[in-house]
Amino acid sequence: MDHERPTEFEPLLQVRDLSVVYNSRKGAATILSDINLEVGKGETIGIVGESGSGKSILSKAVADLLPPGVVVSGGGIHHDGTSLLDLDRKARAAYRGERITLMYQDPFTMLNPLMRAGTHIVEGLRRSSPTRISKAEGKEEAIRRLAEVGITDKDVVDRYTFELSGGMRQRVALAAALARDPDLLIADEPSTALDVTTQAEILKLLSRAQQARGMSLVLITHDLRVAFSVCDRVYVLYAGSVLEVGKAPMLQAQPRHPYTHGLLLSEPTAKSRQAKLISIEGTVPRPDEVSDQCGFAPRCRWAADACRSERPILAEYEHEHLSRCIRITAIAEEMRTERASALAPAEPRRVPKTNDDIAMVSIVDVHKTFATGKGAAVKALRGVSLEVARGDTVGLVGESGSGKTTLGRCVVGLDTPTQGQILLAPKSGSEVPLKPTDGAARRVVQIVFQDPYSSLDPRQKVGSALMEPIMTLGLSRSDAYDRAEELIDAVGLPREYLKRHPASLSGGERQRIAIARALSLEPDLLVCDEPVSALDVSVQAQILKLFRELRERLNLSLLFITHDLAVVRQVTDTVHILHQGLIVESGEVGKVMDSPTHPYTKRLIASIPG
Amino acid sequence: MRNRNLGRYAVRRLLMLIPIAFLISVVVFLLTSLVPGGAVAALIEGRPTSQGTVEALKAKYHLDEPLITQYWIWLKGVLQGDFGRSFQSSQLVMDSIRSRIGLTIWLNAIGLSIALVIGVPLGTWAAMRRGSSQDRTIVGASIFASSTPSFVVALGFLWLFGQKLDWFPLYGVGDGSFRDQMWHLVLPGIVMAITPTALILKITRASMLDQIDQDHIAFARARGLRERRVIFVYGLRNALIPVLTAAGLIFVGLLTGTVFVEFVFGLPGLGALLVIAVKNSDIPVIQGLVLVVGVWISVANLLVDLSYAAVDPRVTFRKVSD
Amino acid sequence: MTVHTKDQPVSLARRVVRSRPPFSIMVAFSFVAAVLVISVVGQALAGSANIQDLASVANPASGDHWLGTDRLGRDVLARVFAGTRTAVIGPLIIASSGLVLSSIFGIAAGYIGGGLDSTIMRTVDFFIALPGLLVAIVAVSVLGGGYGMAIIVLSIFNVQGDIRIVRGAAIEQKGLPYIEALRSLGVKRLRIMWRHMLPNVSPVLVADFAIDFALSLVALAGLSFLGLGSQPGTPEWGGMLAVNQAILFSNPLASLAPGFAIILLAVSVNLIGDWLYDKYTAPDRVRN
Repeated sequence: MDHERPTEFEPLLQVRDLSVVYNSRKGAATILSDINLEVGKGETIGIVGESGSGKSILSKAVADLLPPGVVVSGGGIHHDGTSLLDLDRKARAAYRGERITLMYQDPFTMLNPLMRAGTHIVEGLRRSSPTRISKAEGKEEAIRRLAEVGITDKDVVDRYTFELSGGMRQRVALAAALARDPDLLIADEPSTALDVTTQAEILKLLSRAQQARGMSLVLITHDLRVAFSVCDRVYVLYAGSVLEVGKAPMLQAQPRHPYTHGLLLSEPTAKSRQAKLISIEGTVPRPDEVSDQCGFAPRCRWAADACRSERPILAEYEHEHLSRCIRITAIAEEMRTERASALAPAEPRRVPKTNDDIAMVSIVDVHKTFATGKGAAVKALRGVSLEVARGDTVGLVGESGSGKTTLGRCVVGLDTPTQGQILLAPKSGSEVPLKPTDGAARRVVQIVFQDPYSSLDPRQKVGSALMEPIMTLGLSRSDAYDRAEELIDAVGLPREYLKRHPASLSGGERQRIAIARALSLEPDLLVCDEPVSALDVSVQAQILKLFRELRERLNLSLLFITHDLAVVRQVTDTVHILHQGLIVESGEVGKVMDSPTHPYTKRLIASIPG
Repeated sequence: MRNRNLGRYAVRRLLMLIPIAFLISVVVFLLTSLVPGGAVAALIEGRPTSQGTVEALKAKYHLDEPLITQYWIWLKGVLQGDFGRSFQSSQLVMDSIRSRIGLTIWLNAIGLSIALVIGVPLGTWAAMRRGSSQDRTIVGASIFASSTPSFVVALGFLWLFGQKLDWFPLYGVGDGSFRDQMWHLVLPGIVMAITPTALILKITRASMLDQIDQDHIAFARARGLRERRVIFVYGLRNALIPVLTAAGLIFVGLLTGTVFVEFVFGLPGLGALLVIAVKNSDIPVIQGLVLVVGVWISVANLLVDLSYAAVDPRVTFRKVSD
Repeated sequence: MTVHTKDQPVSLARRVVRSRPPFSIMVAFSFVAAVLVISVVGQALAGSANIQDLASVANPASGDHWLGTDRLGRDVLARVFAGTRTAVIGPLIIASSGLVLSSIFGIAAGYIGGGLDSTIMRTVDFFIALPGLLVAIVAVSVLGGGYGMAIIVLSIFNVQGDIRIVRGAAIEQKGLPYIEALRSLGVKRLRIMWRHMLPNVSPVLVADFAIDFALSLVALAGLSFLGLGSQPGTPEWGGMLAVNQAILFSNPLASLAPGFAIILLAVSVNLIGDWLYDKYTAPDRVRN
């Protein structure tokens, strides 16, 4: 990957001191403040930020697609010399699609459900063409452009969007975006909604298209590693301001801002298990709350009084590497040491051995078939067998359609296998293994779901949610309350939260509550179905750390279901790779990830960015 | 391939019509057999009679036979096109229905057309200007319109155009010529259209708003497509599907309105006939009308479902999700 | 660690009291309140609704009779006031029965599913396919007419749509992970339905109640317009419209006044229902 800045010095896109606010009845809320950004001709730029950073709004401002109520309150946007904000609406509209195109993130909603794939491309061609394009010509050109994005099957042109898979739709969307040959493409999280392997393909596709056309590409993502793998330069956005910007390899090797540093470290790596999981405490503030200080100061370990007294400026630390941290020279060495120690590989965990021979969970030749109506059937699991020993943490890795979630649900008893058997080790004192659907299994195995925003009853107070399962067992109200206090302490949240509703808590906090609730019945095994995928990067690490702690303290066994190999590396001891309902590879996590044997595993590992 | 699926679907639905119509007729029959005092009382209606006359009447209308036989006799008649005779006028029910059905169909057609022609554009326009004073006025007016019973508006119009403005004829159907008949249907047609217009407007507006928020519209804009194309091809076409879904409701609402509007404006249609029959407990007429209405609604629903399947490709396809 | 506090969601009642409703809603509330008050003390305010004065039939509005007199010389204003009773009681009964029955059957059908669901839905779908008011007209007339009969028949028809809507909302909730979490935590089915499903579908119940009230107000008026409501002579808004159609040009207010009363009450209730629904479903999820 060529990271050299192209010799064309005149940037194609220049954003100068851009500020954007949201006007509501309560007043103006800042979304972006004083953004400076440049994209050269043929350059690939990454804009990295978590939710609340304003990265999407930035892309929409450039493309002139701001939602109602959101307006530019200062600064300018220049494209190829022309000031966009000075143009009237019609003139600005002429830029869209023709010179600047924005591609959204969700391939499932981006395309018109009532239109055929080919039409999406042809309508773009027609818009740009001064002459009439016949139906045949249009179809031919559409086929050619679909081939450009890797779709060689000629029938796809006539298919409706709902007939295509997520990866295909993303490709069609890309072809549609490129139909008018813009010189700047902004791709907003182009791969987030997709599987890991598809993600890698789409990113490769974007690079290829960009290079072939000499186009400039702006990639918006929350994933630093994705940005590093594809982009020449990277901007790090936080709470509406740029905190750091520089060449990708520089940023990756030596981040010059505590936030970038924290972000890099809290994104778990798939290369080795980190001895310590670093996470950034706290949550992302609103830009207005930190407008008079360094935006990151409230969460920064190295914050000094100077950081909190006024807003720092973006200063050039070294050639073409800017940072908004005023203390960077003082703390650079500390950051480097922390990075080195954090990335130091950890000792493989010594699993506490138990005397009994009974496995915590024994899954034998499990099949699960779903009837989808009208005779068709989907085989989610096609003969899966595995065991989880007591105290072990087992990872179940697969992409969508692999059957991993189905298996997890069968272990907890929410679904039943069509064939095969699942047995759980009973609580001590009994010799008879349990089935997941037995009543007593409730106290042996529990589940934590993926989406913290819908796994808690929005109308139930946190305290009540924690007490309810306990009281179902027959305990008195006051005993249940004591237990609820214990639980909320165990997950690191203040007791005051017991009186609150989930809506007032952040995603990470809600997930902690969900974990506390799952632990209320004192299970021996916790099934975790993608427990961190719906959370921000900086919060993910917090939750993973929590899992590690709880595991040691409560001697839990964990069945960790995820698509994220990096997560698996950090948390699990044994891993099983699931592909289309079958386990294709199993083993100790370090061995499987460093030297995979099955081609699918190899493909998975190769798709990890960075 | 799609057309073959559509055809099969249509045939399946048509076949389902038969048991539904059958069921309706049974229910109505049972219901009318519950008339207090029995059908005999309705027949006689307080007119002085002798025992002999009562016996004769019972025999003539088969009222002395068990219920099932009565039903069977009636059903046989229906299948031959004979709905029996009105208790009140002794006229053949079939004749009454036949002479009146044309007017009712025209009235409904006029009401529906006005509702579509006004509701869809206004709803779209309001959605495009969401939050503006125009939008709020339109929404307010439509809430008013949907809460207003047709007979109140009918009376109000009667007064307005009877007392103050001499724009439209008020009662009846005029001199019998087609043109004059249509002219007499304008005012009633407008009254009929008020509630459906409000409903269509509300649904169009809501679903357009829904569409506007959708990513595919934003992406279409991002690609620089012309605004007109974005609104119509991306917005409206998708937005009209919920309107179609509500079409069934609209048809039923129109029928209900027919009853009141025909009654108030003195129009000789099926609705007015129902009111008369109900006031006189004229059972054969009631039975016949309800059967007609039942078939009418089933056919209307079928047409709606077919057009729904034709417009939305997702409906006819059977997709096995991966 | 700075904990970022967000606003605590509050109960509907507090949210209603705390926020200032827009002007139109305030007007709607006042009107409904006025109607309720009048239904209790109407007689005292406007005098008797039944005094006939055949000498002054169909007089237009005057000092003695603010809305004029009707076909039998009765004071129109007094009759409109007296009519508030039937205008409120009937719809209230119908909407309430709809609320109670749809909560029970709708949630049961949606959550338990299976055979119970098909049985319930088959009945519901059957009734919904029928042209409600038309069949109600036939049914009420055939069963003898009267206010009570009208209420019973309309209740039966009304509850079907409510059940379908509540069932839909219940199915939507059922698909959410928190319901599954409760199941796997061993919480009993009945408790899930009562303590979790019901509160979460309550916005729908509230909106439905208002819509049902307005619709049944209009339906009842329609039935009494056709002579199928209360006994002739009882002050009922729908009936008044029919009776006074003959004197439309002498004293239009005799029929138009009750007509306006119907419209205003229906509109007010609809507005309030819409507004409450919006308030109740205010964003519960606060994403960053």
